[in-house]
Amino acid sequence: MRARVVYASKSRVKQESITYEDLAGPAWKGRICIRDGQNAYNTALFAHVIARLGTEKAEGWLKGVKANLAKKPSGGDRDVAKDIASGQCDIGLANTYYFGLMSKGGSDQKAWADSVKIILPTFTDGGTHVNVSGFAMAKHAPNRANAQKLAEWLVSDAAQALYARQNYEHPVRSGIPLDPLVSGFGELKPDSTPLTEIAKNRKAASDLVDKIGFNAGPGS
Amino acid sequence: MTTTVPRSSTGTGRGILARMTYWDRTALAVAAFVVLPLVAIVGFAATAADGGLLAYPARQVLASSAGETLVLATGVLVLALVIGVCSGWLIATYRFPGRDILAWALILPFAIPTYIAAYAYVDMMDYFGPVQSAYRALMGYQMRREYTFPEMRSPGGAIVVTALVLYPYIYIASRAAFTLQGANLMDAARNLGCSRMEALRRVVLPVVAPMLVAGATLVLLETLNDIGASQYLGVNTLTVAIYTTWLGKGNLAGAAQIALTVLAAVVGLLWLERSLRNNPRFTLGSRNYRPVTPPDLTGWRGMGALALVTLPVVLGFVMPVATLIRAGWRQFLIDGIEREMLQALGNTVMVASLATVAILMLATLLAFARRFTKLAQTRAAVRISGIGYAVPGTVLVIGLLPALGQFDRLLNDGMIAMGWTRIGLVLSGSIIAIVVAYTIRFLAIGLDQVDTGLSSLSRNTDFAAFTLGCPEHRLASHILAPALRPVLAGAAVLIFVDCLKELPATLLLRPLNFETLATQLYGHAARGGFEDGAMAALLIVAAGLLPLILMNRMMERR
Repeated sequence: MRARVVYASKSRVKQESITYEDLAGPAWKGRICIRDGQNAYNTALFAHVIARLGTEKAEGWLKGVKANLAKKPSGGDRDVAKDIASGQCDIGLANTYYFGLMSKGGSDQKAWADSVKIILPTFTDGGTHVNVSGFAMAKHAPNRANAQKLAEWLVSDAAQALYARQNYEHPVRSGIPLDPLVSGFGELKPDSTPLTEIAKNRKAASDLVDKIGFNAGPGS
Repeated sequence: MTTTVPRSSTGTGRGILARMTYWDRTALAVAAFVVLPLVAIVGFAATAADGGLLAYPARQVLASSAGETLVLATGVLVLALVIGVCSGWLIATYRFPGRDILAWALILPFAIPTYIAAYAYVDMMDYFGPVQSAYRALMGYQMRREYTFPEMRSPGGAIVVTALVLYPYIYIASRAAFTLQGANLMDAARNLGCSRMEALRRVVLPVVAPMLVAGATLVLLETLNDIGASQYLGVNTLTVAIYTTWLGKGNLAGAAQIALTVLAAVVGLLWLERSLRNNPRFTLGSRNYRPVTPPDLTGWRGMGALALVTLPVVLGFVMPVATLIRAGWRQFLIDGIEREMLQALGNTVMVASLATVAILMLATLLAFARRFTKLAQTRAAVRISGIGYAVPGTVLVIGLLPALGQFDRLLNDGMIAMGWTRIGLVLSGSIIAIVVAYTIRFLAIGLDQVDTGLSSLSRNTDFAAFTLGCPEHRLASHILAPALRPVLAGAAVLIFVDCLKELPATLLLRPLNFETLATQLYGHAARGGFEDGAMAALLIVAAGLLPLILMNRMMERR
């Protein structure tokens, strides 16, 4: 599991908790950075917002986030940390494991990671949005038995420990030790909305990004 | 084998099919192979449900991405013209210190694909990059908010980055034009009492302009083709819209409609190019050409000219390459040479080699067809076969992949019907798809080279061979083809390197777990770690230098 969380400036953001809904509020005007709204991680989050708030409120929310942007959406998740480190924005949305990868990366990237802290956001009365590495088998797959074995191995303790250790992800099973860096974020409570509900809204989310002109950035 | 129809029999009463030789049939088949995927796009576009692009919000996507594309293309063209014409003019009409080296160095940015230029420029110019860090240190700033600094991730940034690596198209054309026509016209105009600037504006530029049309068209086509730079710099062009509409929204029909729009724009552009090139307002007989020793620029004028023409080389080549070397070296110190990069290198060489061989074979066949045919239709077919160079890779894939998929489905259904096992996605799920795409995209390069080479071989050879009873295919295989060898070698380098740099089509067509240098670099950049691909980028640029060396030799021979 890869949680989509808030990266916040250590020096300029004092609070330690936040909701996804808060991001559209006036307190963050001109302070948010995010990558391209059509990126799969973002459309997934926006689809989740639609699933929880309904289409109409979700549109208002996304408009609010857009109005709060510090710059036109661009770059990748690491650029969010970079832009916070450079002072272009104070908070941003990104996946947890990038933080781990940057912390263990070259000196530049480590400096970006060092300037931010991770806040695990939640929905009001809900949990955190997570992306999963899923496994799907084609209906007519010729090697069913082997595929089944692979699927079972992927959710085994050994494989899940690899995800936790190598890529700083949250294992899908309990009882697997987290990387110390990741456990430092606090306890992750994935939101209970079924993934199928979120997936259903994916196209709607992508259309919403186009409709409100999210990628055109603030003030457009 | 079909026998050759006697060359004298062009009786009007006979059907065209009867008059076709195997050359004609080959040319028509190749043209069909190239055009089919483009026609397929029309088919897929027509399958759009719910009103397609005319429905909201797709209409809005099309409008906004068309707008961003127009701004980008216009900006790139204007900037490339300014850089290309100025440097071409200075190099062609004056002599100053360093001129001979710069005449060559000005084409170096060609070696850098647009996406690599974008990665390098963001790395170089962002907050933590050397340029902005130095600026902060110099001015005593701490935070990004305290000062304004050009943002590379913007339409303006994309225009500058793209123009800096595409201006050589204009430079080469303008240098040739000014060398041929500049001095004579300039002399004439000044004799008639014009000042230097006036002569340039009223006489030389109007004559030279039509000669720049082809270069300008190439600049625009390359800009349309780009996906890596636009996406990275946050410019939502039509190419990017095709990509997100298809992959992000799973809407092939919508993507096909955008692709069709791009295709229409490309056809319009080519038509415009032809009509501009075919109606030059002035012509100057080549017999009037008089080589003139260019006047010397000395002192501060010479230094000024040197500085002006050095700038594009520094910005378009030296600085990006220095950035790549710095990032690549740091990467090397951390990871050494990674196995995945070597694997991508192997993959790249494999697909590029296969495509190069395929293109050279088809191009040679087409060039022979053009030489031997009596039919206007065949000459048209040969011309159409080269259309792929104008079609953006993303657009091509939209037609190609579903077409190959259909073929695979029929094949598998057929195999099952025959009682055999299915053999899987032979074309659409393998590297064959990439090879086919490269072949269509870059056939024009091979065709252009081979055709030029072939027309330099005298027709008298053909007539002599025919008189001695040698049939066309023997003439082709035993006499003309061997003479073409050096041309084929040169063409192979040009094609190979273009395949090696190709990103948009490869990105969409590569099978699972198959990366080329370009797609691997793209992946690293998309994950925000362009440095991890810096060595791959350096390899691409180094390979990109090879055709420049060749081109330079060809230009000097002229």
